[in-house]
This record gives sequence, C-alpha cells and structure tokens, in this order.
Amino acid sequence: MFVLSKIKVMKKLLLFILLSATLFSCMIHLVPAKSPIALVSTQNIQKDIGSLYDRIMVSSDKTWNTYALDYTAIDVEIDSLISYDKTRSNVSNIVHQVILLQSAFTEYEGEHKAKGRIATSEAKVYKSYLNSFIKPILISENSLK
Amino acid sequence: MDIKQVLTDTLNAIKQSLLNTLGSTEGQVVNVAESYVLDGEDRISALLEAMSSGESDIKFLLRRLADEKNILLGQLLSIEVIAKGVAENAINNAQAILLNAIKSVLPQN
Repeated sequence: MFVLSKIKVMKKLLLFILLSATLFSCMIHLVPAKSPIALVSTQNIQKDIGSLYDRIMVSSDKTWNTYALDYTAIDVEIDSLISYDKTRSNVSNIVHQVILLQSAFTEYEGEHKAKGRIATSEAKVYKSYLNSFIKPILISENSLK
Repeated sequence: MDIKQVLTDTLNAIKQSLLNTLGSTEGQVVNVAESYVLDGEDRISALLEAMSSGESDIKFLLRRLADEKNILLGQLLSIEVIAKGVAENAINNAQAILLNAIKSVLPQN
C-alpha cells in the first residue's frame, strides 16, 4: 500500500516536471535578453565619439594624424561590440544597427583622413550624425527585458 | 474539456497581453519618433551651418543626405525590436494558458 502511494506521488512529480519542461521549451524568443555589457559598451562608444569631435572642435590642430589613435580606439570598440552582439541570440536587428554605425564612422574617418584637416562645422556634423546612429541602438537595448 | 473555450481563452490572453504591452511600449515608440525629429533638427542645422560657412562642399552635403536614409533605417530597426518584444510576450502568455488548460484535465493519479 505504501509502495503504491509512493509510485503515485512519483508519477505526479514526473508529469509535473514533464509539463513544466514542455512549457519552458515552448517559450518563444524573438528578442535577446537585455545585456548590461552591450549597453555600457554602446554608452562608452557614444561618450568617446562625443569626446573625439568635441576635442577636434576646440583644438587649433584638426589634422587627421593627431586623432588617428582615437579613431582606431573607437574602431576597435565598435568591432568588439559587433563581435559581442553576434554571440547573443535573436539579435540581428541590433547587429544591423551597430553595423550602420560602423559604416558611418569608417566613412567619416576616411573623409577626415582624405582631407587631412576638417573644419569645426564639419566635426559638429560628424558628431551629430554619429549620435543619430547610436541613439537607436540604446533605444533597442533599453527596450529589452 | 471545452476545447473551443480553451482556445478562446488563449486568444483573449493574446489580445490582453498585446493591449498591456502595447500600452507600456507606446512610450518607447514615441521616443524613437521624437528622437528622429529632435536629432534631425540638430543634424540638419549643423549641416546647413557647415554649408553656409563655406567650409564644406556640395559633395559633403550630398553624402550626409545619403546618410539620412541609414539613420531612418536604424530608427525603424528599433521599432522592430520593440514590436518583436511585444509579440514574444503575447505568444508566451498564450502558450502558458493553453498548456495549463491541458495540464488541468490530465489525470491527477
């Protein structure tokens, strides 16, 4: 009698575990989980891009050579963010957004390098445009749970 | 088990979930739209300033105007991420209701 009761309890437990596992495996994931790492990384990129162009705007030396290392450092930061994001699931839209930022940053760096020296007003344009590429990434990350 | 009732409950859960989540995400979508307008004002002002100062040429202007397309794409991708989050929530809530209904009619012993 005691053994039979124990089997019943075990059966109920197994059924419960099975249904819970089914429920969990049936959960759909269309967006990634919020990532504090990606969020902080994006905020750092925003800060560093802002700082780069602010320095160019106030400096009398606006030649590409002076800021080449800053450009490279930001390039690496954006690359790292893309690599990190690619390790997350369901993140294609955000990766696409970071790639748009990378393309714009590379283009602006290329323009600065080709001209040798940019004007204050151009640095302001670059900062403003790059900020418009970064903000949507922050909005996407902040919308995640 | 009233299957029609279970499916109706599941559908209602989707509707309710969509209404709840859409309410809470409305602000996020408004943020995207507002950010496009406010930042757009900054961008275009800076661009016009660069052009009127004579420091930039027409090629610079045309390249930035081409960038506007990608900026808008970036903004719309945010709306897609928000919408996918809403859909994920609704589907998972409905799935839980369906499985719970089935669980409740399974033999207890």
